Amino acid sequence: MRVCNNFRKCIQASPSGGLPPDLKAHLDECKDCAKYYSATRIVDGVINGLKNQSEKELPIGLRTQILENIRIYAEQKEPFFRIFLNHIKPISIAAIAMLVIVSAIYLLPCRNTANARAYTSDDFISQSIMQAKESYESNALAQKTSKVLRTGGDQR
Amino acid sequence: MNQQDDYGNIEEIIKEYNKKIFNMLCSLSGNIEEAKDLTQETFIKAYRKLRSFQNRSDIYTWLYRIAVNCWKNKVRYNRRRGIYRTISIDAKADDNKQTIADKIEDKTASGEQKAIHEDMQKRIDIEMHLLPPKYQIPLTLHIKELSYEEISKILKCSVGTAKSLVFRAKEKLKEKIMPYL
Repeated sequence: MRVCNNFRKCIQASPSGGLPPDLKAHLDECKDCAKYYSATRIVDGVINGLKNQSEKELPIGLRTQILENIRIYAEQKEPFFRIFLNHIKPISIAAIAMLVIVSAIYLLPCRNTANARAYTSDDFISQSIMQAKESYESNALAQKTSKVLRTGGDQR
Repeated sequence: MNQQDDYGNIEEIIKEYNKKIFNMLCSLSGNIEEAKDLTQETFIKAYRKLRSFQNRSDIYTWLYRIAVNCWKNKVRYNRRRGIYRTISIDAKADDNKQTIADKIEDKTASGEQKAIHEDMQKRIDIEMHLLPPKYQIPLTLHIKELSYEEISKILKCSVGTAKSLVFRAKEKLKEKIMPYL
């Protein structure tokens, strides 16, 4: 089989040229290779024939028909979906750009969220301490005034 | 570029390439009416995409690519609807009774080599239309005397792949006709 493959490669390389004597001898012995040789010659011959075939003439009126159809197409208003499709590329690029910008705006401060949270909680604690202090002071003041008022009343 | 310019340009393109595109589509589809429709479709598509055509490739490889894609879409559309090409069936049914080898034996004596050649050509033509589009397209482009480089540009593949596809298409044709020899 390997021998046949080698000969077939040889046939493919020179289907129309003179055959080497060993290939000739093989073709006399091997029926399959002989068939393959004939098939190669026929296929190559037909393909070469088709290559040399003259071009078909264009059917009468086809060119004017094409131009007419193009003119009709050009005059037609483009449907909305086609306008959308034509612009889909720039739209998608713009959408991606927007997404990147928006996410950058929202995500970049979030890198400091841990600090921000710590900061706010500290702030909250100090604020509540302050509030508690203020309320304590105001309570103390109220108690003091009431005491003063009471003692003043007693003195009177 | 406005619409008027586009129309002028497409007119020039049609004038120069319509015959080649029509002939190529005729070879691919094997049907003149279908080739007419596909030629129209090709140029309308080319008109639509004319503005997006950047001179990165030659205009004719671009047109051939549009034409090939139109034909592929048509084949796909027909296949989905169960419409198959009927070129081969009748011819095959008649010819199956007698092999080509028999015919050669019968006819060489009467000197009808030409008839045999025509017969073989017809058979190969039929088999070529029955090849899968993957092989039929490069082989048709090769027959239309396009270089492997041009074929590779149209099919958007490497030159090596284009060569190998043409070679395999020829091998498939040989396989098909060998039983008749």
